[in-house]
Amino acid sequence: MASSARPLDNSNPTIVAPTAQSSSTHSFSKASQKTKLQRLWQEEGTEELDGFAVGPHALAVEEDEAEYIDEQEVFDLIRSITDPEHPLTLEQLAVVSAAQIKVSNKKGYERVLIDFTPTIPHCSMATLIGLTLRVRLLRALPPRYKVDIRITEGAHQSENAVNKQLNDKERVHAALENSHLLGVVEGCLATAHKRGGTIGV
Amino acid sequence: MSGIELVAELKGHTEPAWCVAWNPTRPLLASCSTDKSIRLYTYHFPSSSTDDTTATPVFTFLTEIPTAHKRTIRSIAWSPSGRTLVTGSFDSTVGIWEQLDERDDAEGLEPASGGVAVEDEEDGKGEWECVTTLEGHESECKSVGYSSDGALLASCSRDKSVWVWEVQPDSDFECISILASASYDASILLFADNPDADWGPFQKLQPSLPAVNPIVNSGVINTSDNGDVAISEQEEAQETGVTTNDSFTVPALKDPETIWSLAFSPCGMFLASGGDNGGIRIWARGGHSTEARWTEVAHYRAHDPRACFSLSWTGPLSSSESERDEDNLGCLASTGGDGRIAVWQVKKTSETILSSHLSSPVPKITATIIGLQEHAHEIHDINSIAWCRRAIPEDAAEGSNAYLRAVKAQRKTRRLLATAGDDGSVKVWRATED
Repeated sequence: MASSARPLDNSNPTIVAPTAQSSSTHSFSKASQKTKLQRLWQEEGTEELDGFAVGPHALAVEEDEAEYIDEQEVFDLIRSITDPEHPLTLEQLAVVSAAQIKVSNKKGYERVLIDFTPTIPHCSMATLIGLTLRVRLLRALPPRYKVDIRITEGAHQSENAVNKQLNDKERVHAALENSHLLGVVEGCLATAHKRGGTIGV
Repeated sequence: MSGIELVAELKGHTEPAWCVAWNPTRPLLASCSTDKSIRLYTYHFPSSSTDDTTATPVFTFLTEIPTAHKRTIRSIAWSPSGRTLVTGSFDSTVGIWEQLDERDDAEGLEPASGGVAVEDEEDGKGEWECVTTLEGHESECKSVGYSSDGALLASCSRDKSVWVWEVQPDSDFECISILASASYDASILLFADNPDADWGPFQKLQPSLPAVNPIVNSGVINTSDNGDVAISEQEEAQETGVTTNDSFTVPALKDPETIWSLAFSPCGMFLASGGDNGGIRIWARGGHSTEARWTEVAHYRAHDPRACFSLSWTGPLSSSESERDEDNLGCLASTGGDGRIAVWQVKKTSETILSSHLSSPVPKITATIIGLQEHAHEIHDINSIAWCRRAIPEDAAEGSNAYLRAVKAQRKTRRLLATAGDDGSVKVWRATED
């Protein structure tokens, strides 16, 4: 594990759920990628690799007209995503919660709205977390649900810019064509299936 | 009736389709996609169909151009001559495509025997080749378009710049100007070609009007009580047996609103813009002088709360002379993230607006929805909409075969619309007669 030249944005985040993971293992190699990741998402396009054309419905569950979802189910889909900066889940860091999710099952107008709260107002990983949430829901929800993602009001200094970026379908599509960025998203999603179980080492 | 009917469903892209474009001189329809391919379709009118305005064309898949783009092809456009196809890709490049061993001009060829001008189905089948690739943008190219005379090509990108290319002989393109804007996708900037200097900023359009509900033609929506439909709330709440909160509002993104689409009216005096909040704004130019400024004259709710992704504006649809009055500004088609297609009849009113920056007053306009199709690509977003606008070649002498063929093609195709959606399909629609 290479030690990072840059400090973590938030080296001592509040953890809201018990975890087996001790905070001393923070020498997460991803921290050293921070600058690069920011650049990739904000002005990526320098690196081109093919083969990652992930369509919005590539892994979507089969559509079932009778099926509907609720807030708890959406929360279960995202609660165990790993934070890009800490070996902790978004639930443990209180980035997401069931209370910050709204679902509408109105036929023909199915929607999901997620608020998420970065651990600190200058968190540079906010867009990456938002992108990871979006990718998870693109893959796991029936495609008829349109997803909107917002930063909890007042929780981030660049709230408006990040919200615009996360809800701009062109930029999301373009970001997912970047294999490096997608790889990082996949890393965060590797634990997503645990649906609330703690992340093992 | 909804005022719109489905003519053809053209499946094939394996990823979302982003843009459709009708060839202005030949029976060709092109689409592009995240799958990095272009698909070309041809169409013809069965010889049994005699009535020009109700004839239904038959669409046939012609060819797929794999392209060498490394990422999503976001935008395509035909040159006014119909000979060149341009692609703008997220890989930041612009591709120029022409057909190899294109046969001698179809112009002048006699129509097939039987007296019916059967359009050539083989047209466009020859191999399409990338004759040049324009590089320069630093990030995703988002849109490409020709000037109406075909002399200039423009491309724009997330790098906040517009490149203007001069079209030279032998598929050569020279960048003659780079227009840079300081802010990202937040406003409409108009640029003008100053003959004494260079291309430069002309006016920044400032939105000011609140959105109003559009007037919807009776017959388009049967739930209309009073002709004034709250278009975002028209759908009936359906019993799903679910107790979750179905009525929350998605908070709008903070201003300034992202502009997704622009379309000039055929007369060039009006401009429509579609934004992230789903509304359509109409802007009018105060006079014909090169200095004349633009101002906002209407703002309608259209696709909210989703974005209005695409607009297309064509001339009057009706063939009757009485409809061809100068107050009729033609028909605007709009679509977006709500999966809806709307066809708007745009008319000038006798009222005018005069604001401080205008040298002469501009007419107020009304836009009435005369065609509406919900969920036109089922559950999917619709990214692009385009009217078929067949041109009459400038060099075709009135009364010549080429001229008559073009007039006939124009009359038959005037009501056709194409859409492209996230499902990867292209659909062709026709605006029905009143």
